[in-house]
Amino acid sequence: MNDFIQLDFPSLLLGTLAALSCGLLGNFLLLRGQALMGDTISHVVLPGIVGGFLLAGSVAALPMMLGALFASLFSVSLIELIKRAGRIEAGAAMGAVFTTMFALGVVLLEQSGARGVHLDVEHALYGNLESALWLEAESFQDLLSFSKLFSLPEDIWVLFFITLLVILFIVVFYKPLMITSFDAAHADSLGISSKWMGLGLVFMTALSAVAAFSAVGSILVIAMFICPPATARMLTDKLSTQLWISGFIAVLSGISGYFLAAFGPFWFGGQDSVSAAGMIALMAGFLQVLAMLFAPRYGVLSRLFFKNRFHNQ
Amino acid sequence: MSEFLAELIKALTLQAGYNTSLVLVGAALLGGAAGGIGVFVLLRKRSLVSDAISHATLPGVVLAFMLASYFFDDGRALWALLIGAAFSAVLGALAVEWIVRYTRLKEDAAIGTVLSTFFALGIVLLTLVQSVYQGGQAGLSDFILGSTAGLLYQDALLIAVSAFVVGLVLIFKFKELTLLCFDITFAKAQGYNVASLDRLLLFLLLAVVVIGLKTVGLVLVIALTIIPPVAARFWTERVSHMVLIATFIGALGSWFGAALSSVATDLPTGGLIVLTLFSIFLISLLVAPKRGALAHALRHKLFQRRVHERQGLLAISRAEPVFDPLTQKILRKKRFLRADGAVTEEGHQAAQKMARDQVLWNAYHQAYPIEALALEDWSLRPIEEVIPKDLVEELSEELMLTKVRLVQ
Amino acid sequence: MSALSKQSLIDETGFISSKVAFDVSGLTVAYDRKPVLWDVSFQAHSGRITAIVGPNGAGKSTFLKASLGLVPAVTGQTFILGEALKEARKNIAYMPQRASVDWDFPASALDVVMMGLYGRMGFLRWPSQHHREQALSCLDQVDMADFAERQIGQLSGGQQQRVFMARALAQEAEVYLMDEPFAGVDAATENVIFKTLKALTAEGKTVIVVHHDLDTVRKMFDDVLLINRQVIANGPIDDVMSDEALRRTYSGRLGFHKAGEPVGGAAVQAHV
Repeated sequence: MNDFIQLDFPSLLLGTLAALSCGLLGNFLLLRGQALMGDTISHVVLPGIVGGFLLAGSVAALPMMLGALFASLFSVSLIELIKRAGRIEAGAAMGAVFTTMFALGVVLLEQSGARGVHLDVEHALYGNLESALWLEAESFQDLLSFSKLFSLPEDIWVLFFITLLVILFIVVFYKPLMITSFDAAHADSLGISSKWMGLGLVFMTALSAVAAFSAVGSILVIAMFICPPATARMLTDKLSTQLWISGFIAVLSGISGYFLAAFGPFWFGGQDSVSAAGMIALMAGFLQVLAMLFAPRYGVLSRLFFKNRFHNQ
Repeated sequence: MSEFLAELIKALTLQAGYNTSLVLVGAALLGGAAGGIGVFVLLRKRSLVSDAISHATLPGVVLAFMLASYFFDDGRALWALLIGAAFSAVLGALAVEWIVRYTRLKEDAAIGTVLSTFFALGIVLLTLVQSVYQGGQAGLSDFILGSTAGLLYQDALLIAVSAFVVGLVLIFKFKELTLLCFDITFAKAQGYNVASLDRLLLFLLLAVVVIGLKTVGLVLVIALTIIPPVAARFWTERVSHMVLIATFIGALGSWFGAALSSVATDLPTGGLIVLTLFSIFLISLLVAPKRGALAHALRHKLFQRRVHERQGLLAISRAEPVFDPLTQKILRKKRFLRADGAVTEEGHQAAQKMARDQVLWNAYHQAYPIEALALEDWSLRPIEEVIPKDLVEELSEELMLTKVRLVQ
Repeated sequence: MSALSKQSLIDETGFISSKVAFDVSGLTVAYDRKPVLWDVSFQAHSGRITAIVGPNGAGKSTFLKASLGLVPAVTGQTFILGEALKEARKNIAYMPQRASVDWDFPASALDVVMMGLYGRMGFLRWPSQHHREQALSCLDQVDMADFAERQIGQLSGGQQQRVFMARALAQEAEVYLMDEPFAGVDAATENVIFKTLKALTAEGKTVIVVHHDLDTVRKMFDDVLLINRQVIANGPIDDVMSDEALRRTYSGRLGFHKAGEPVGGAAVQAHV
């Protein structure tokens, strides 16, 4: 049990928090037709993180985070510029920018000799969830002790506060987020700026992508921005319910994915665990497939079933 | 530094050894083919499909490695890995289509779902492989970032030949694909099988992505299919020119990037190729004469000034005051207004001329509404500078006649 | 220009009928250098319902959007009841085309109508029971109270249009700008929306409607703005809807040499 609280619990917490913060924000990206913004941002933070690392000279959280934030806001502006100046469609503009930023990140990484320190590309892609440790903990009772909780790794605390911030953002801006996502022109006519709301959303997306990125890597970030909201979308027609469901799905994928990755291989006679971030993303995808097939109203199979019943009548 | 340059020039001119030259030719062929196909994909507004396809290759690569290791004892045969990649990329493309067609989710969500889920599966399999085949899997992660360093002679040949074949198919199907992107209803009416053309395009895209995996890696191969067409878009409005330009940009960028990486061996090939391509793109974005950002901003500024000048002069001709500060500023600069806001003699003259031109412009609009609205400088410049002189005379004669008739 | 235009409309009898509620002057919109709207000036009067009529691509929707600052204009100003646009947001209710939104959005009819209240509610306040009742009564006015909890994607096109109408009502504005509210709706919906708009003008509100159906213009509207990138004619419906003006609005290439046609700017300028 000690092993669990020291080795597995912090990773579990980290993965779940990352899933939750990205999964909640993803709802609004999905409704705005910007689902791939998460994909874009999780690729463009790489040069920012490496740049922050190079400038600070150490693997400190703050400069890397600032660098990543800067990189994402820079990229979003660049995408906007390309879209407007060249009248290029959004998808192509995003594709041009995120691949370039990622390339820049890769080159910086190799150039800097950062390889081997802590940063490498594999790390950026699928993170290193398993390295989160809480050696100070001795038993589950420590979860109730504040002084012990403070010894949790920095990453977890950062992600915890950002998750809180994301929830606060959604609660406070629920109305403007909803109205600008549904009908931007109408919102603008009311004086609720869809442009600023969109920028706010991108900023929060960048913030949570950056926080999650260093712990779980880009693949989990992309998956969480899309899969839990898409799953919830299959299950409900009410925005508030959709938010709750996506949060639940995110947490569920986080927990089940981690357990499968950490312990699953041993059940089948394997000797090593597999990538937890990959497994969490895979679980989120799996849950989405279930929803797409079996959702009571919009699932493919239930639709097929109802259609046949109508035909028979 | 000069040594580096000399090395680079040597590589660029194919004098840096047989293998390097083959890699360069292969990369250029690949970049050209990807750029050309990318134009059609861009025009069909499906650029990010390559994002889904390329990420979806990973589980195929890893599974192919596992199968190949089991059956042939060597999992690293490039052809086997590429077949695996193609197989799972096809599955990914089908999954995107399935989600869009049968669920309420839209294409962006479908692409995101497929790329993250397939890639996640690939990562899980990769970590599994790493624990089973300690060390034997080295090189598999090259598919993520690309590397030409360990490329064998027959691998480079495989890439070059397949890229060449893709290019050939593109040339033979050029007319049909152009039609598909330009006017899909017309293409249908002409009896073309649009669905199968779309599938052909997807297949070509898939081929480029798979061929490019080893050289530039699965993230950056997306760039090969997106950046050259987007850059070409700034230079021309015509599809055929766009394809030529994108092919050229793709080939040039890949050639140069690959040459760079053959000299600076510690830098990843894919990254260098993409950064080279993006530099070409950036130059296009800024300085292209037709659609470039600078030209566009300049034209817009000029247009705005003309509109303000026109509106100000018309106000003067109707003896109305000019309120808009920008209009005032422009009129003052042209000495149509004095500093105190009074209209100068030149101002009155210009206003009269503008008012007379407006009547003529309106007559022209009346007679040739479609042509009038298609004119960029309609009613902004003196009419005789824009439309033929005899037409202007015809218009003014007609106006005189009408006036006479009205008076009578 | 705007100083002049703020005075009241005096009709033929010299009777001051109504005041200018919506005043756009010199509006020019261009994409790149091709004009979409060319120096459009237009006034609408309170208590009257105005149709904006013109062929496809004439810039009708763009006119509404640009006058509200929703798309950038090269030149032009808008005044609402004498106030600049920025101060007047609360007095405007804008209804975009039905096709401009994704009706698969996770919201109920009531949710959408509540959005009409957001402008007045303030950022941080959550909707109260009172707001709910207000929204419900707006739905009731368009005969949609029974569908309040229905997901908007499951409503028919006409019902969706009525929900949009109810959302506009909820805004309790002075000026209503509607983009194609009668496009593709059933007869019952057309009736309900028309009656609602009439009721608004009876209260002294101003209603401006982009309309595509020439046959019904005469019986539904008081005033009309004929537009084809520039103003062709503008004024009370009986004065403006001459065959000549319509031909000029909708014409392709007019035979320039046909005898007896008043050609040129004189006729156009007279109305502007």
